[in-house]
Amino acid sequence: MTRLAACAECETRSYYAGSRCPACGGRTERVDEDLGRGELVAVTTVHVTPPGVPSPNRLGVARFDGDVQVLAQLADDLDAGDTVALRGDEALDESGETRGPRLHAD
Amino acid sequence: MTVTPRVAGVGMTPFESDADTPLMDLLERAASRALDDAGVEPDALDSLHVGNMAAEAFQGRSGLGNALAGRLAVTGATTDRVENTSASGASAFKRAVESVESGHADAALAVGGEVMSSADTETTTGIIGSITHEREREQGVTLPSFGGLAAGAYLDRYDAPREALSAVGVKNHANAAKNPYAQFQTEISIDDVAESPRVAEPLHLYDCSPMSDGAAAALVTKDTGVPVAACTAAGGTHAVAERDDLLEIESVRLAGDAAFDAAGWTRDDVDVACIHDAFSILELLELEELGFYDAGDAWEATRDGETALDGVLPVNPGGGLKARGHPLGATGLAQVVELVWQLRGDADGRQVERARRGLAVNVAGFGNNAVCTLLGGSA
Repeated sequence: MTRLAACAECETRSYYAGSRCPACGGRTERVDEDLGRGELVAVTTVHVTPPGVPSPNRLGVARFDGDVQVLAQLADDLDAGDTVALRGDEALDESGETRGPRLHAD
Repeated sequence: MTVTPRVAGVGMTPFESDADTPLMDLLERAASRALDDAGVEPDALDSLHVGNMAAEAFQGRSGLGNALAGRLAVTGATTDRVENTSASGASAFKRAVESVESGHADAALAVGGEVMSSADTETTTGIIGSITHEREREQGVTLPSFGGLAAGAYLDRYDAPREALSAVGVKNHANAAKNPYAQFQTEISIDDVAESPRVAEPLHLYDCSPMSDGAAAALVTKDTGVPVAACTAAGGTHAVAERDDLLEIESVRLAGDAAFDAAGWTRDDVDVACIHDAFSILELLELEELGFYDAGDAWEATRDGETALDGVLPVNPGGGLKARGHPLGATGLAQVVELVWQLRGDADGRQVERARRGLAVNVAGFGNNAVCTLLGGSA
């Protein structure tokens, strides 16, 4: 399950929104939903990373049902157009203190 | 505008990889040069605005506006600091313009600066990365990461070759080679870009602006100087991944549209442009968002020389962020300085012919917001 902001007025879902909906400005509430399968729309391999972040860091942007888009680390050897799922509670930095989901082949 | 603000004087320090000079000294030098250029004494200032992103992180100091006012012996003036990440300079300029436009000030000075050499590359990457959305930041994202994602998508969508990106840096280095204030006064080739270290694929080192030290300043008055035809700003999304299309930078489009509307100009009225090329892909996307080219066309125009010094729309004649340098808080004001020099005919060695009207766009983050400035005579 993925924590999203859901608009009470237009039903837009967002991975990044705060208390207001980016589409209509309505109030949002926090919901946990299964994003299902999405399509990877862009990828990059980052070689200069912030302190504590492994290099290279493979990143991608995926689009899921309802046009929810997420930028996350790539767990597998993926390319634009591949089908992915956002899952896991994995170490996102070298210390393991920052944890979160990554994009996996699906 | 009932009062037309005018840029009466400009000045800047050379941009350098390591100026070995404290930020306050650079700010004071740029400010003094702008005042001297206008023939105005500091005690004539009604307001003083300092643009800076991260002096606390880079230099361990705050209170820049008050410190600069003290050095210039400016008392009684409205004094503040403007922080708008990489658009802090243009935002400080906008505040000076608004001070004059509103009648609050007869003379307003905007000064922007940054000293980045005090931190190593990894630390600087972390400082700049701190401006991103927290859910993007936890994934280890950097500003070049966004550039890499967009650049890859651009090349794929428009079936463009890697050289489409390289042409931006090659052009901007060629211009900077003619600019004594530029950090890199050397030309580079298409092959140099492709052979430079990878940063965020497909972006290489020579697709990315450097870390820089420097400051720039502009004095705005209601009496004499280059007219400010418009200075507008607009926001976009904070999270880059939330955009419907990674190749759209809404903030640049909105700020640009508002500026052209306010000035009553068309795109054809612009003789010279300073575009925020923090990454090569950004110059292409911004030229398209500003309406100079249709989506997907800017790379061919750049490759074909349309944006070169002798092209139909010279872009970044001073070298841009890529080669003049990108001291974060100084960049927006350095764009204004370059445009004023171009419009006054003072850009020795890189003068754009018949430059009457100029545009500058300074972008915060990867399009979080943008400031668009139009300088010069009305159309």
